[in-house]
Amino acid sequence: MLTRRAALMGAAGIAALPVLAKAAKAEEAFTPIAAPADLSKLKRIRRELVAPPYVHEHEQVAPGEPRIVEFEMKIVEKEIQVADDAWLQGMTFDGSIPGPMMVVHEGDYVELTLINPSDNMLQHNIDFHAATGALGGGALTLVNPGEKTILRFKATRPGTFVYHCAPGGPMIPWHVVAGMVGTIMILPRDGLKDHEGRQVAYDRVYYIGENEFYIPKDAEGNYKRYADVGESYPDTLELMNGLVPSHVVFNGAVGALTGDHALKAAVGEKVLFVHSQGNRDSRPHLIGGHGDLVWESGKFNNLPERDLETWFIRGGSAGAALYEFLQPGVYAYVNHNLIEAVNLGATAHVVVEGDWDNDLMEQVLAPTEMAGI
Amino acid sequence: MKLSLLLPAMMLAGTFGWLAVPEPPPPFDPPELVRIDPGPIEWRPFGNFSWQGKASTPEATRVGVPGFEIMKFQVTRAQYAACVADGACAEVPGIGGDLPRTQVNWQDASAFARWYSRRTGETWRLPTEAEWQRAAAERHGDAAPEATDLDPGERMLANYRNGSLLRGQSSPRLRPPGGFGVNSRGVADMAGNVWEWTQGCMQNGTIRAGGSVELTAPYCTVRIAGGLHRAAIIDFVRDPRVGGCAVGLPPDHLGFRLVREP
Repeated sequence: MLTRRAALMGAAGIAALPVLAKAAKAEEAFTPIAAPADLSKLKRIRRELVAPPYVHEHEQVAPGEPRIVEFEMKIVEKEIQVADDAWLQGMTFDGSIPGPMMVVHEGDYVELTLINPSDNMLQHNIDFHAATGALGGGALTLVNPGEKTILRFKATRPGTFVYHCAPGGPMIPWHVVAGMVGTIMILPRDGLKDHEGRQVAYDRVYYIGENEFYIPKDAEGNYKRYADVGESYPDTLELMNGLVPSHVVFNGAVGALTGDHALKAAVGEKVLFVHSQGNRDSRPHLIGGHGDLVWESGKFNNLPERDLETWFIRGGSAGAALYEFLQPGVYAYVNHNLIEAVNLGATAHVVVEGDWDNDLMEQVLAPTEMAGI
Repeated sequence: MKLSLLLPAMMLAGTFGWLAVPEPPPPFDPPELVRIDPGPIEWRPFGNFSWQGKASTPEATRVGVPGFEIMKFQVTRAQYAACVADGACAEVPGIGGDLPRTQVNWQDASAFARWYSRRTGETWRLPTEAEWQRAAAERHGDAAPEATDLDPGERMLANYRNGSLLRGQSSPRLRPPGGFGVNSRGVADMAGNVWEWTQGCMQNGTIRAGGSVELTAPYCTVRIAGGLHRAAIIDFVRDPRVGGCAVGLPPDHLGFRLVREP
């Protein structure tokens, strides 16, 4: 165990991009050349993160001047059941796959305390696609087990952005497909706007993190389980490199957002669906509904597209779709690669209460046998 | 006897298991059987029903079910393996262990019944839907919405709620035979996490004034599996799980048990 742990940690260091390894080593002795930014006059607010598909309390329109928004995340390495018969040696931000969603406003400062508890085996860091410089913060946040780090960056671009672990070399894709990916949403200070620049608000926000897993099978075709994350690496690497996932899921497991865990809404409610995929393309589709306003690439300085049937999420990005439910019933929110939706797991359900509108749809004739045919 | 007469007779003998050289008995002990006495069930056909042109749910009606004998436990992996070894059943995924045979489609289950009948010289078959419901007693589940005058949204929501409720906190982990206990009729593992194939076909029909049902032709490519809630499954599907249907909850596993005809 110790040998493997040492070997893996060594591998992470050696295989890291030179610049990254250098940054990690230089970190302790690092003397900033520029003067630290004086943010002493800014108000601070601390946000407690909540597990997806939910999002912590937040304002849609920023209340006053930019603030420093404090978050804290603990990295948790643990085995996670991802299907009836499959377990993943997972690596997580704050214990969930995907990692929790953070919400701030444009101009705010994100200040994250990242903790790598001593009972973890591996080094981790965080690369915010929303941040500028130092590999998105990755070069400044590489923490060994038993260490913590604090990163502050300015949220300059409004939109939904992926964050993920990127501790160097082949550790990068592995940590991401093991679950270390999440989303930050940076709202315009005056909130979201439609295609004509009018302010729009949402009644609920759901955060759908999509992950694909590569879980090896044994000779008899059963999914293999491993003693720890390190033991799972060689088989997983081989499977990953074939690019054929064993599971494609929302919220970390097959069925994580169905049945008792189905999302809820009501007719007349506007729901913002934020969808992220850290590694691979996806194509969300709401069966029976639409995207009224869709920021497909997730960046709010661009006009939203309207009336979409399916939208495209590039691997390594997060997008947002606003939809007002008009009809009650059960909706399936899927990755419209339907093989991935139905056979590999990428299906969520939205249970919508309200009154049926026969103008929008009516059953004129229920399935009936045709006489004489 | 002329050869032309003898040949059909031999084929007939082979089919029905008499006159021919008796087959060796199956290489496992006869399964424990439970005698189910004749009695009534509240019966509601399963499928697509309409009332005044709209989707609806037929009223349950009381029907009598003749007595029968049914296996106390589901057919196991080991029992099914004997049929595979004989070349009479298809190989299916998941072998070994003292577990019920799952990952079987309706055809596989029917093939096992034919093989077992041949090897025992008795007549074994899948239960009818009514027999399964009678044997399941208090464990028979049905997620169909109760009321007949629901709008499409209400019907979807009611069906989903009922399905979720019936599923409760069930776990899909397979248990050895007996793992879900016996019901009030002494039958083990009814409506655990293994749904059981029946002979039942998906029905279509119209509901008449007063709630009675006029059935039309059954659609037998879709067979009914009994369990926590009845499920309509295409007869060649072995694994109903994974991500599930677009909406609604799929069964965890598909298995079966047989009824012995007197």
